[in-house]
Amino acid sequence: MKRFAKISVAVALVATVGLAKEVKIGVVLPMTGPLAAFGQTSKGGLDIAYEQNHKLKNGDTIKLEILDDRGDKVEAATATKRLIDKNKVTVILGEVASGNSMAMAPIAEKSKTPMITHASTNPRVTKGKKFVTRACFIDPFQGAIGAKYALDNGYKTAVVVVDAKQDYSVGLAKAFKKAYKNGGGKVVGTVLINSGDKDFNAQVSTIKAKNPDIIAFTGYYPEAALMARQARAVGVKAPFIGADGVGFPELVKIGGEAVEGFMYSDHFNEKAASSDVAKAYIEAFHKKYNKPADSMGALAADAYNMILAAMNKCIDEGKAPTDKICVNTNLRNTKNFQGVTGVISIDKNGNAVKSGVVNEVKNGKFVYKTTVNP
Amino acid sequence: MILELKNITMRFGGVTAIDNLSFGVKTGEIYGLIGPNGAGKTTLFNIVTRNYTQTEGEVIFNHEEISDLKPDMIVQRGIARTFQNIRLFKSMSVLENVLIGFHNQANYTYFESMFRLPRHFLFERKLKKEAMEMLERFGLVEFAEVNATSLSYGNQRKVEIARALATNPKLLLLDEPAAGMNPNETEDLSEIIRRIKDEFGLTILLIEHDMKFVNNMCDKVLVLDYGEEIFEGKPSDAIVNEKVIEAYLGDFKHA
Amino acid sequence: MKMVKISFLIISILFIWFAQNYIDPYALSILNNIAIFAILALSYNLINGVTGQFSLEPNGFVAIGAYITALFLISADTKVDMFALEDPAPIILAMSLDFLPALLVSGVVAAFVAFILSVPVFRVRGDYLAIVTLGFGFIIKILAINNPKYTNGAMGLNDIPEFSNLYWTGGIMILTMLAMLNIIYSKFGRAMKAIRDDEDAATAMGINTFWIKTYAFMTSAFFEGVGGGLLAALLTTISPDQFTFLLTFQLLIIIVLGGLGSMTGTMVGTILVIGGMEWLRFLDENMTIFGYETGAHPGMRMVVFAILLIIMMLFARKGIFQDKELTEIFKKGSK
Repeated sequence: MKRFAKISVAVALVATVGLAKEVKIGVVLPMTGPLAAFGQTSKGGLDIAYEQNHKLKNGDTIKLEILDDRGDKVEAATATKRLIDKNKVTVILGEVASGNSMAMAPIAEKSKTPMITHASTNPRVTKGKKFVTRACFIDPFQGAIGAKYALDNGYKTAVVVVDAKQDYSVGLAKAFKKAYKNGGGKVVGTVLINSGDKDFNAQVSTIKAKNPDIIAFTGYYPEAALMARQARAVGVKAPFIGADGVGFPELVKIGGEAVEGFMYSDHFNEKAASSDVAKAYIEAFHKKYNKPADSMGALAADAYNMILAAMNKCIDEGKAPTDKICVNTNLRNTKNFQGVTGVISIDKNGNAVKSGVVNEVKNGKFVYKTTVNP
Repeated sequence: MILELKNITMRFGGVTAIDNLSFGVKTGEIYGLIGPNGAGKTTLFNIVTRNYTQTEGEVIFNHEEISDLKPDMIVQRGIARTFQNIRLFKSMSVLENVLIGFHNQANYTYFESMFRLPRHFLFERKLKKEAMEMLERFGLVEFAEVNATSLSYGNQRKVEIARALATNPKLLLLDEPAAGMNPNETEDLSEIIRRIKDEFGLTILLIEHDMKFVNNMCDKVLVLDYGEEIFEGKPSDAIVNEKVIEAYLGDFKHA
Repeated sequence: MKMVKISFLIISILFIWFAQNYIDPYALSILNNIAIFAILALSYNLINGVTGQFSLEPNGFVAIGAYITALFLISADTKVDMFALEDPAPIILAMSLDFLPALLVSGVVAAFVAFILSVPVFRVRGDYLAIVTLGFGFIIKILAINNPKYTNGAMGLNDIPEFSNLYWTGGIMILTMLAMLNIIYSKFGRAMKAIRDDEDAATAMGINTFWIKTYAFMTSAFFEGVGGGLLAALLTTISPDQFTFLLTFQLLIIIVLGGLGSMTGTMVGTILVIGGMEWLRFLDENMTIFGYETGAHPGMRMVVFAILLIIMMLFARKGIFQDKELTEIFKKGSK
């Protein structure tokens, strides 16, 4: 009997080790199409995180199944269904654009599959959902960061520049205005631009006439750079403050002198990173890609690691890492997670509560100014 | 006079294509328009069919001034035409081409077709029957389902005439109907035209270069040169007229 | 012939019922996509392929249909919550209808807009149709962005109730196909083809080409509007950037591949393009060919798809079915 028991245990042990399973994470990203730049940078960070760690506590291996959605809503929805039904993934990671994430969220919700977006900032992605989480802060928060920073530094009046075509810009502008007014600031004007425009003389004249202390620019870097140049050319001296959409090297390449002093909030700045986790990531990133670590990749890495943490917690609880309900519960209950982009806690709405950074352009470089806490 | 053209002048920019032309076609006549190339014959046709609007003058059909009508409207008044270079609908069968001619006689609406209401079936049946009868008259029944442009040239011309006849015209305009035909086909064509004229009570206005054909067919001819009338009368008199001969020097297809 | 039509209908209905209830959500979503794109492509084929008027209208009418249906379906409370830029206009809050009426209104409004466009364009030669419809598509998108009180602007609409399922999409697809075939096999379809082949000759036969073109254009618009509504209720979220020329371009590929003017061809084309693009996904993943690992190359799928399209067009220059329906392929003397 004893011998039988010994053999059974041995067989069981061997079986478990031999049965070290694959745990699949489905990833939906715009690898081609108009949003490809964001998809590629996301994958860049994801790959680093994967290389650093793709094993769970119980020996199971993580498998990433990445599908390209071409930046298209219909494809994002179909890809999500494919990952869930055909590839049988445990978690969905993605997407970048809020519109596409919103097409994916109901699908994850319906099939009770946890979903985490690393970069979609529209509040409605998680609103009312139990199975959707995000690793980044939402637009209202980022708008509040900018407003707080502006007011703390004595800029009491502002003109807000909005890119009407981009829901990112529109949402951000609304959040900024609300926080700014609540903090005692005065919005003296709103100016509309269109992404793709090159001539902002009309808008710049309006800004000059309004003479604000600061110009809140809620759009993307190409227009930011051009507008800054044209503003300086007509003698507008007020500084600019923007958000993560302007934080790209091209801002300086196109803007030159004009963007000196341009401030912006962002998820991440590698200079500000002080934690071990961040340092390790940045080092691996430099080694592999030989360029500065960007926010998009860092956020993707954090989302990935949050998933692994949730799965490992399930294992601790005696449950399988492929238990979707368990993984979701743990993801949604993430508290004080040390990520590359800072310390992340998920609130009851599935949104990340974390610090943001404010950077400034100084001598053609992005210099870290301060961290703003929630 | 079923058709009267009064003082028609047609100018295209600086070019006067037709200069103060007047003539009339009697009901039941076969009237020919002849003249050297560029004389203005097809232009005149287009004025009758309202594809062109004359610079000056009146067009009176069946005692009605039709100058304000659009080209598709004059078909309902009773004028049909064929084209110099046979313009059949190349993606459609012989039967379908002829069915186009019956278009305005199918009295069902768009909705009735989409939802297949009774009137659609009623008129489609009626039309198909009449179209097949038309094909029978021209000896083309065996080609009904065949693509129209795969027929021989002579047969294509027949289809075009059948299609025009389907519109139930009173006046039929034939633009060089015998062009590109050998003597046998031309003979065949003459017979058909005469037959349909009698059977359908038509008046025919035609343009032709083949003088034998013209001589054979036409009760009267109008000879044009540089947009002006140079003779009107019997074909047999036309070919011996001095002015006519002069205009045609080199252009004649000898009788 | 009637037996064929009836058995086709019965088989389709059985297939739809079976699929909706028994196959996995992924395969079902592909069928839903095929059905909706089929509706869009079949109707687009009417003005472009059958009537021969080169138009670039679909993205505009699909947008109109999507927005109208979405606004009728979303509850007033959700709208108040969702409209982030400006408060929704009272009429927007009042808009509320069941699914079918909402779809019908979408179609009718689209058809009405089409009529307004036809009047200036078709009264002269229709050569300007392409430019007008291209511009029209842009204008609709810009209107959606610039009127946040009515459309929530660039943020779009979401939390649209998910009414679309295969009964709706497949059912309406069948109705669309029947409607198109009914039109084609009638004097109106013949007149449309006549206009395509030779507009002057058609006029000379007494056809009022303005009205025939307008009927075709309005019909296309109607079904494109309905299709847009179905799309909104399938994705549950819509935004202006979805309705660009790229959507029209996708439909153009489908109808040209299938054969301009052939509804059978369009149906086959939709399956090949929409189904094919999903099927080709394996090319984006890591593959083991003869023991050699290729590595994952996202985007390879589209490269292969483009090459396949080119090859198909080289061998079937007028499209797979050219301008014939399935039953006509076997007729004598067909080109």
